[in-house]
Amino acid sequence: MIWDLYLVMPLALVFIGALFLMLFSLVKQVELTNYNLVTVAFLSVSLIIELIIFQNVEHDYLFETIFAKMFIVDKLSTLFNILFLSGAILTLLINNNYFKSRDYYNGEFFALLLFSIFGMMMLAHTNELITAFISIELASITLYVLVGYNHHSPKSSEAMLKYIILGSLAGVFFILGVALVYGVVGSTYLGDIYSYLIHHQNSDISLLVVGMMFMMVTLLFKIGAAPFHSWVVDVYIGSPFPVTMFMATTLKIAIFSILLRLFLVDFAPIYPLILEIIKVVAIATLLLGSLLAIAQTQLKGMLAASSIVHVGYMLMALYAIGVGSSFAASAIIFYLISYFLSALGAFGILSFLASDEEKRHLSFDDFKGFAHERPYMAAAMTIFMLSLAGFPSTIGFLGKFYIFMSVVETGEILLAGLGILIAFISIYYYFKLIALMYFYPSPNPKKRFPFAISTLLIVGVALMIVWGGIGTGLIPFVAGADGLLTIASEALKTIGK
Amino acid sequence: MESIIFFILAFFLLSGAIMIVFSKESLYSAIGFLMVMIAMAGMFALLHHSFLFLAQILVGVGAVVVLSIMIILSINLKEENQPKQNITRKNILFTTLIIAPIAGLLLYAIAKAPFAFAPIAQHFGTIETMGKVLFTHWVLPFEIVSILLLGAMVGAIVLSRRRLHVES
Amino acid sequence: MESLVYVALFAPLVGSLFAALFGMSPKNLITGIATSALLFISWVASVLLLIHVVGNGAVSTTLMDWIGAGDLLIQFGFQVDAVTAVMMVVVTTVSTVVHVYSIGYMDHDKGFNRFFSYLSAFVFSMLVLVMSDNFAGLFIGWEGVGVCSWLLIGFWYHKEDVSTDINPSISPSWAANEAFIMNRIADLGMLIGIFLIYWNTGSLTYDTFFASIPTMDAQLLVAIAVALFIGAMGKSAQFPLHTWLADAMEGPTPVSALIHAATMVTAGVYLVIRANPLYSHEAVEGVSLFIAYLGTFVAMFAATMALVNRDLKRIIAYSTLSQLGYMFAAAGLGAYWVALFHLAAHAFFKALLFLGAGNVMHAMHDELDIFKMGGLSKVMKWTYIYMGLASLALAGIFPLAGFYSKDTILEVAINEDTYLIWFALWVTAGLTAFYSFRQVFLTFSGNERYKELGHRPHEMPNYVLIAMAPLAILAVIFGFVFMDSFQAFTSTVLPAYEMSHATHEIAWVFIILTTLIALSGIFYAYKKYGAGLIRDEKVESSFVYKLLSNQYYIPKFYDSMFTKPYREISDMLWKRVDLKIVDAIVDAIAKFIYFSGDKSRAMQTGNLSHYLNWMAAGVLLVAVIVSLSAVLG
Repeated sequence: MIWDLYLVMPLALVFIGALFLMLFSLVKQVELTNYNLVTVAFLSVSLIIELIIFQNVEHDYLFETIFAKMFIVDKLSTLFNILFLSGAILTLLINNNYFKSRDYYNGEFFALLLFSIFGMMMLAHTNELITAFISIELASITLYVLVGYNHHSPKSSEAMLKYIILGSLAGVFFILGVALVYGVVGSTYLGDIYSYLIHHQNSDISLLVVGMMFMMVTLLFKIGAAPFHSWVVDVYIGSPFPVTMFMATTLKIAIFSILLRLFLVDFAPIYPLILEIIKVVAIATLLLGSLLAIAQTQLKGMLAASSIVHVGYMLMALYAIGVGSSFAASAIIFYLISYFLSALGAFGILSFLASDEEKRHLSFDDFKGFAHERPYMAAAMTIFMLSLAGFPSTIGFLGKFYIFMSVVETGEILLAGLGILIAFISIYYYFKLIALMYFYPSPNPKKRFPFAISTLLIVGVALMIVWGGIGTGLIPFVAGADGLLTIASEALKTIGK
Repeated sequence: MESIIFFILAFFLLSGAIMIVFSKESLYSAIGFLMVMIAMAGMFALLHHSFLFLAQILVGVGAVVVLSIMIILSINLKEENQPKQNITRKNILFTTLIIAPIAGLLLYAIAKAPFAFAPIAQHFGTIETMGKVLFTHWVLPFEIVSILLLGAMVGAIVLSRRRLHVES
Repeated sequence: MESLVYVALFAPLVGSLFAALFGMSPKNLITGIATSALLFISWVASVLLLIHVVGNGAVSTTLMDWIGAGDLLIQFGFQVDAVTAVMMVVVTTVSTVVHVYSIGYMDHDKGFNRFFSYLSAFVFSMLVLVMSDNFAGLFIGWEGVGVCSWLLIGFWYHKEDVSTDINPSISPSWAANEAFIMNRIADLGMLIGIFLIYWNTGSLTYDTFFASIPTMDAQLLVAIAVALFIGAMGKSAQFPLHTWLADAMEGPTPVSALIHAATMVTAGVYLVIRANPLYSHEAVEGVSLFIAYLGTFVAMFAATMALVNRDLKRIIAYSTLSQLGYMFAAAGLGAYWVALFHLAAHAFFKALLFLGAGNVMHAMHDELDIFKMGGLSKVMKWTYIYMGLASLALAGIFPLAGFYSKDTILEVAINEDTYLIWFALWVTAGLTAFYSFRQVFLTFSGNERYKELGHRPHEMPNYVLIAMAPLAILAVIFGFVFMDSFQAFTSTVLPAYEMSHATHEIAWVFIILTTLIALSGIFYAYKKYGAGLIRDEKVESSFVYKLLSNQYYIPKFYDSMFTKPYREISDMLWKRVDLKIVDAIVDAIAKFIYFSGDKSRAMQTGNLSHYLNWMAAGVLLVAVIVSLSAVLG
């Protein structure tokens, strides 16, 4: 019982934080930075508890007598929670300046953000489809509002409206799928679906497959896979920077938490039926995402479009899981972490610049000669671009490497070849930025490196990327790339069937 | 008898849905919405689910539809104020072509599915049973729904409180 | 012992980073002293390691796992065996001397701090190259020295050409790029070799690869051997990739001494020596023989170019090329320890020669034309002695280092019954003696031609001359003190190469023959140039002379065959393909994606319903796939 209370603490803290901020947003005298710090404080305590839980937890159901087996606590869920929490903390701290530079932020922003994180954490813990649906909606609905938070910008409102309509439509498919699955299995527990499939191998499971297909549609939409990717660029460009950052990194990870759980547990008996979808979607995502990314003129749009491509790589690995790769699942988690760091840094620099200089539109041309103006920021940006492009000695390279290895392991050489080809194409749009930064004279004079939480964190993230890429062993007891991979595979082991 | 009622309800449900999409006046769409909601409630009644029937009437009809009609009336939503919609024949054809195979697949799968129906339990669908189920077995999702509503409420307030400054 | 390995390896890196901190600031003596001190520490560690390896055998250590996924495990591992220990001591000895020397030489340079940062970074890369226990680490070091060499050749990138009258097209940045590009071409071959090794053995460590050689396909082994040797050819500037080495003399002279004489250019030889289980395998015999013949050819080819050159540094560069040829000849014939021995001896006397040339340049205000010098021995006594000693060693005069190493190579050629190689190398020995002393006499004796040009030469500061002393001592004693112990020591790793009895019997004949031709080369040089420069119009206008002084027209040939067409093609590609086709594709993609053409993309354009259509179509797509693969199937 005490242990259960301990396990529920991180979620409870986030929820209490949301309530606290909701109530205190009424107090007008409080400065925005203080809201931010309070939010970060709640998240940090929660994060610390999660880290302790991660060491000790194996496989638990929270309050089994009350919640039955709906709320699962295992290493996988805890690992994902750690990612959400650290993603949110980094997002908030890196954007500290940005919040102050815009007048439309207030206490509710942070309350909504915490609600969203609560939904994501719930999603990682859920062992039941209805709860999963509600958690996805909780995470999404609050995000819809956050996307439209900039009420000065019609673009932001437009993005919100698009996101609401498309997102709701996508959500409907999930609940339709759940209904169909329930119709066949008579239960919505993940484990029950698995055992039904194992025990009813001779009966007709078309309806179940169709139901799962609908569920997949929603999840593919939420991670922005083709052909459900059309919203990504518009919504990412329209949203305020902190929200874009949050969506691109944290939300994507959250959806992958349930996707992995579903895929590893429930879909396992019917891989042959479901894999074709994943393969086609992965290929389409890679190709269409690359096309979109090439066509972007704004940096934010390029990062948004390239995030679609990164989803494509992870779907490739998802396919590899189904074909029998032994470490594809760990590769996905590793890739999530590597993408998380790189994208966070890249968006962070954009948000820092946007907060610093009002007039920048942050198109590619605005970065001409950036290296001469802000050498340190340009160096960090270069690291992020290199990592996103998968250049050796960055964590992004290892992420791609593991994914391609897992695909090659299954014998799908052509698919891996396509992935490598796409990675080469991606060099075009990532290196375009690097070239612009370094090979043009700067119109502005050189600026000093501004010491602030945001900038220091950006540099820190850049160092982490290089650290993760160069490897482990330089400093003992600190997990580098291999450590992360071990953690991921450990977490996957605790998934119950 | 039951199937006759079902088809009548289904007719209203579908025609209501078509009305929502095709009517150019928002008020007619709202009335179509009302038809859908009532027909849906009838469906629940047909399934002996008294709780859902009541909830559908109270919440769906009483709250959601009435609220939307009120809003439409209060902000004087006219056709010329709305974004231009181009519901052309081509669009309808295109949509049908897309949706029909999906619906066909769904029907096909349902027809093939090996359903094993248990007889309806004695107190199925009563408020008491529903309450018990919601507060025992489904207590976790039930509680999270309340958090979802809270979050949505905060969001709605935030959105309604702001003022939109349109810049060109 | 592992800590010693890390001290030896990382001390230069620490020095480089330390100097880099001051990279943009004006000259700070502390950077020079700190990097030199750290290199000295590295040298001490290397010597201690050498002693340890002599007593207890190889040391190996794993720094960290770089990539570990599934079956793949690439480790950053280091091993110090006899070959590595020798290389480490050679590298750290020469670099310590060069560092101290550079404090004096780069005294007035604006980029003083930057220079030491690059130089130490180079030493670090070179140590990674020789200490790695796998091909991945070797390749990283290989690329590292390439980059540092590029930075250092182009160190005076702002400077226009210094020897305009001889070869007008060369400027430091051009030379740096040439070296870089030539090496990249060769590295491609090396990468293919490494890839083949990984593909077939699943590992990149030397031990695993060497252990699996007996079971590997003969053709595959040949392919690997050829690919690796292409890499070695680039780095060691073997024909036809040799042109960059002479042009690399545009860099500061200490760089030439360290990188383009003693260390980096010998990396190719090191690779062949390191991969001796591969090259001594019977399936690869042809490749090895080819290496030997190519080495012999380069030895002679480069020596002929040195005969007529007037540029002080280029002469030494060609002689380096020629000596690298000797090393490859020995390695190709299977006498790996002889190649390594010549490598070490050559490193000492050639670095000494270069540093002496640096002294002369410094005294003559960067004048390189030896026709404009002469009689410098009066003002630069010590430099004269050093360069004289180094030239004697280079010419192979008893009992200096070069005599032992070069003579053994000639003996090997006899022992293998490859008389053609012996003869070519024998002739080259004479040529070597001639051009070395032509240079020495033209520079140091005879009439003082520099006075007409208004130069006032002066000797280097004493500490610079003292710093050079270790190299001079080694150039003298290395042969007769260390040769036997060297052979015994390296035979723990390398195949022991013994002369046959017959060779042993008649060796003295060949020793006398070699010494004779070397002495006659010196004598001829003395006769011709000892009294001063007498130019012979007839000789200088002859075809052979022109051919040699234009380096067989090979640079011009490359320029018209590769550089110019490439420039034209890339110009055309830029104008036609990049500007038109690539841009058109990008535009077309943009248009295809936003086919409304309206980039504002507001709600009113109906984009939302467009998106909804897309989404429904997506669901349909998924449904179709599912029905094809599951429901209907």
